[in-house]
Parts: sequence; structure tokens; C-alpha cells
Amino acid sequence: MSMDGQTPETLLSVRDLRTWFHTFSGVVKAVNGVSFDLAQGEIMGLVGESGGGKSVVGFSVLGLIDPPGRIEGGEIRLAGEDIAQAPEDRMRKIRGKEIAMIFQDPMTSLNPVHTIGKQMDEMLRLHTDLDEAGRKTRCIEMLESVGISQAEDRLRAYPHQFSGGMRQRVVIAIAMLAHPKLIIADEPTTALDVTIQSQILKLMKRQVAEHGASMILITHDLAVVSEVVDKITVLYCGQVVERGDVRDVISNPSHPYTRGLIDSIPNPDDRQARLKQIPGTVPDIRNLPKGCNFRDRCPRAQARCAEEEPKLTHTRDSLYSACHFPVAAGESA
Amino acid sequence: MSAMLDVEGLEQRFHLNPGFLDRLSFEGGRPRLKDLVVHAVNGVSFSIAKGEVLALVGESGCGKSTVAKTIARIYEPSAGRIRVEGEDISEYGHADLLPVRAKMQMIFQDPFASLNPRQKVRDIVAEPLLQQVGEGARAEVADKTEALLARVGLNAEHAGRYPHQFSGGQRQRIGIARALSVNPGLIVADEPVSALDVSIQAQILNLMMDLRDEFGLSYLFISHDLSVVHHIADRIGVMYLGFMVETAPRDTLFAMPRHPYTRALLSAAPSIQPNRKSDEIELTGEVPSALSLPSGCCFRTRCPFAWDRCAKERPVLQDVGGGQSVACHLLDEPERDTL
Repeated sequence: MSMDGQTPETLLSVRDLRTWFHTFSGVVKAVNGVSFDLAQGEIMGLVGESGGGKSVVGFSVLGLIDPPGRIEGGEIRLAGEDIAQAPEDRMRKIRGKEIAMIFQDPMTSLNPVHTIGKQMDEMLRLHTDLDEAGRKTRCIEMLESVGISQAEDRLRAYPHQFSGGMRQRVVIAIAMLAHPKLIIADEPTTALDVTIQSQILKLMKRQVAEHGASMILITHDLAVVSEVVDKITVLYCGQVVERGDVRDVISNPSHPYTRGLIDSIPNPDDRQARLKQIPGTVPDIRNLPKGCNFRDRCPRAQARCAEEEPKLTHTRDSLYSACHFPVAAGESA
Repeated sequence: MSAMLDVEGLEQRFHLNPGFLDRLSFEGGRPRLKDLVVHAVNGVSFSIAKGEVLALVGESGCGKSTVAKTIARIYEPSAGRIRVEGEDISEYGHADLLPVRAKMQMIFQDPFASLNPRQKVRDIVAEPLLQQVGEGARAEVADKTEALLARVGLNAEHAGRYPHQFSGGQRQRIGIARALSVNPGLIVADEPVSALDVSIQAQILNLMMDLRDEFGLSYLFISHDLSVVHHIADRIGVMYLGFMVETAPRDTLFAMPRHPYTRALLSAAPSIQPNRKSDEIELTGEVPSALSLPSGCCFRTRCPFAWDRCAKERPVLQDVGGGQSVACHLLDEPERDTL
């Protein structure tokens, strides 16, 4: 949100994105018609269960879809420029400079045979025109700002000499080095312990705010999302089923899937003998049912759901939901 | 009546065998070979009554899974006693353990790694029982297997399939059926729902609670997820660096955590409930290495209240009433608790 009351500028606009994987056993429509907007300075959570397509959305924006996957259609506009079908040499300039990424596993996203200093320096060499001394100063400042002490010495250390939480700090430092406009963080704290997770989430939120950047936080953990983001987009079987401001989505979602997800989290303030559960499992994405993808697991499903695919429409408050029979405020699924 | 499980002073140390040069050090000019020992569990005691669910929580490396695996006698304990229904199994050999397996079974975290990919589901579920009753009773075992699969929500058609044909949640159901096949009184469950999506996690937790009521099971439930633990446990033990720092009944622990680490853990846990946090101890730094434990209190390097006594003297669990025990020097000097 901008402070002066003006409409904040849209940084990223995704329209009808379709990323499909052509496998021997059929076409996997991992992302099938996803649209969303992200304003400058905004943090959006992209949530859903495994197989929902949330990571594929992130990879599509980064232009990191490899065969047999392909972006079949749709637009990805970054500050007005459509990068959905941009050539690789253009994407190389965008990745790191305009869009930075933070992945789940900090051990595999750092190169084990190079020092931290070399990996940080590479980012600045590619994306800035600083000289060697300037780059080193920037690296040290950045490491200090993510809470790594004795930064100058630590530049000479290798990734294996850091703990998991420290490695993730290094990854964040590298991501922020070139002052990107957009950060895509894919399950950044899933591999970390809860006390370290809370440190890292606070750090990411502060860094994003300080640099005036926007962030897409991809996670399966609604509790993590609810503490960090401004708005939430919920994916199921490669499609957006609900989106809205974080408070509305968490406390009063209108799609039965979101309601079910939130109800199946044990709530320490209101302990029930049994948890509410969503019956069944996610359908095979190569062989989706006709009509609504969620209808086989949905307690509200009726004949219409088997016939007609629901479109994303405004339901109430800030919520948009793809459901023929949306949940009313305060109602359970 | 004796407890279902009674653990006393359990210790587990792992000797690392690094190369000669890694172990070599010089002290005052004289060469010396160090012995590298991971102190995974350092004197943990607890007991579980019949039908009770005890959860052990803590962060990675706190020794909770090692406790589970040592109790299941996958590891040999370095010291301490493990009694199952009063029977001391801590020094049992492989053959002695077979009858114990009928009383105690385990459910594992990874539903992909814990099922043999080359066995059909019916054979996976039947195996523990066949070990107990012998090959002669195959027909009865087959009937029981079918009944068990139905009980955990799988059908007869599933019995002839292989593990790779199932989703994570279904595989965990197979693991549960296998554990139940011998009618055990105690199930040691090591992070049974952490690999599952939240909607599937709720299904499995509900199943485990139903089975407890139906068969009168006791669970030793290992988890890092406080909201899961709050849902399933009757009593909770909090571990840090191989030590038990606090044990308490569930509601007491969540309402009145006493140990600074428990308080930090509760305040760090993300929650979908806004403004739920009352106590806010924010931890800095990271867990020390189990290769060289800090002197005195294990938590002092990250504790906001630590003073010189904490470095000198190791606190022991003290009963503070209401079934709660805490290992912290703050109990003696509460005025130092400045929050």
C-alpha cells in the first residue's frame, strides 16, 4: 500500500497464464489460466497443497520452465513489459537484477565449491558497474544487514561452513544485492526450525520494505503466510480458487477449499476432539473432472458443479472466489 | 499397574569415526587423538500411562527422534533403562526383542522410505504379524490384514498394489495398519504427519485419535509442530540439545510455559490467529553443537536471562506442581525473570 493514498502502481501483472508439461502419460496442466496483480511494495502469498501449481507459477515468472514444460499462453507483465515469451538473453538480464529468487533449500541454491564472497561478487559483476572495491563494500554491508557478524571474514567462507538459518540469510543477502523490484520466495523457511523461521521471516519482511520491493511468498503453510503477506492467492489444481486481503481470506474465506484448509489446521485456542478434514485427495491433474476441480471433495457440491466450471467472481469484502455456492461469512464449509 | 512405557536416565551417544588427521590435535606440543562424540540424548526420563499420548517436541537436533528410535531399540542405549509394561528391554538382544515387538510398534515420518517398494501392500501389513505367529497361520493373517486395511480407510482392491501407486496420506495409512497388525499397546510415532499436506494431516490425526480410543493405545508422539502436538497430546515434553527442559500436561504447557526455551518456542510458532502471542521471547543465535555441549545449562547460550550460575551448574528437572516439571535456575531466583 502506498502511504500517500494514491493507487500504488502495478509491478507485476499475470493474465491467464498457462504452463503445461507434455509428458508420456499425458499433458499436465500444472498452471491453467492463472491471473493476478501485484502492486509495488506489496507482499502476496501464493498458497495451496502439493501439486497446486504454486511453484510452477514462480518458475514461469522467472522464465525457468524447461522442456517438457512450456508456457502455452498468457501474459506476464513486469513493469509493463511482457516477459512470458521473452528470449533467454533478455531473461538473464532480468533474473537477479529485476527479479530475485529465494528457494527452499539454501544448501542446493548456493554453489558448494565457491566462497560466499565469490557468489555475491558475481551478482554485482553481472548487474552493476561497481569496481572491485565498491563491490566488496556492498557485499559486506549486505551481509551485515541480514545479521551476519564478522562479515568481512565470512566472505571467505564456503556454504557448508554455515548453518541452515545462516545459509538462508546469505541467500537473502544475494537476492537483495542488485536491488530487485520483485522477490520470489519459494518455501523459504520450510527447511528451517521454528525459532529460526521466525527470525528469517522478520528479516525478509524488513528487507523487502527497506528496498521498496514487492514479494511473492510461495508456501503451503497458511500460518506463515498470515504473518507476513498483504494478500493471498489460493491455487488448486493449477487454477486460482480464491484471492483477497490476508485478513478476509484467513478469517472468513468464501471458497470451500480455503475454508477446509484453514479448518484442518489444529487451533490451540479452540481445541476440538476431531479436526475438520477435507475428504479424499487431490485429483490426478492429467485427468481432471468436468466442471469444478474441487467438487469430489466439496461438501457443498451440487449438480451444477459437475456441469459448469466456476469463474473467479467477487463474493464479498475483498474476496474473489471460483465457486458456484460460496461460503457465507462465519459459515463453515 | 505399571506404566506402558517407563524411561529412566536414557542416554545416547554416537561415536564419530572421522579420519586420523581430523582427530589429531596438539596440546602443549604433544599429539593427542580426540574422540568425537555426539551427545544426542543426555539423561531423559519419562513414563507413559496406558491410553496416554505423550508428545516430545523440539527443534532439529534436539534428540527427540533419537529417543524414539532408542526406545524402539533401533539403537542400543548408551545408558539408562527402558521398561515396556515393567519389562526392562534396554539390554535385550535381537531374539529377545521379538515378543516386545508385539507390544510396541513404530510409525515413521517418511511414508515413501518406510514401505518396501517391492512388496505388495497386503504383504507389508502382514509381515509383523507373521513374524509373531509363524507362517502356519497365513490364512488368519490374511483375514486380519484385510480387516485392518478397511479400518484405516483402504479397500481390498488396494491390498494387491505396490506402495508407489499410493499418495503420501494413503501410504501413511498403510504404515499405521502395519503397526496395528500385532495389537500393540504402545505406538512410537516419529513425525507421522510432517510430510503430509494440511488437509491430509487432519485425516491422519483423526484416524490416530480414533484408533487410540478403539484399541486403548498409548502413543509416544514425536513432532516439531506445536499446533499438531496441542491437538493430539495429553502430556508434552520439551527437549533441547538432548535434555528434557520441561514436561507438563498439555493445557498447562500452553497456558503457563515456565522454561525460557518453551516460552520462546511458543512465541515463535506462526499462527493464523492474530494477536495470540502473549510472551515474546525472541531467540537470537542458533543451537550449539551436540559435539561439545555447553557447560552448565544447555540453553544458556541463547537464553536472555542467563547469568553466571547457569554456566557452572546444570539445572535438573524440578516438580513445580500440577504435573509440571522444569529444569531452570530461574525457579530458584524468579526475580531474574524480567519479562
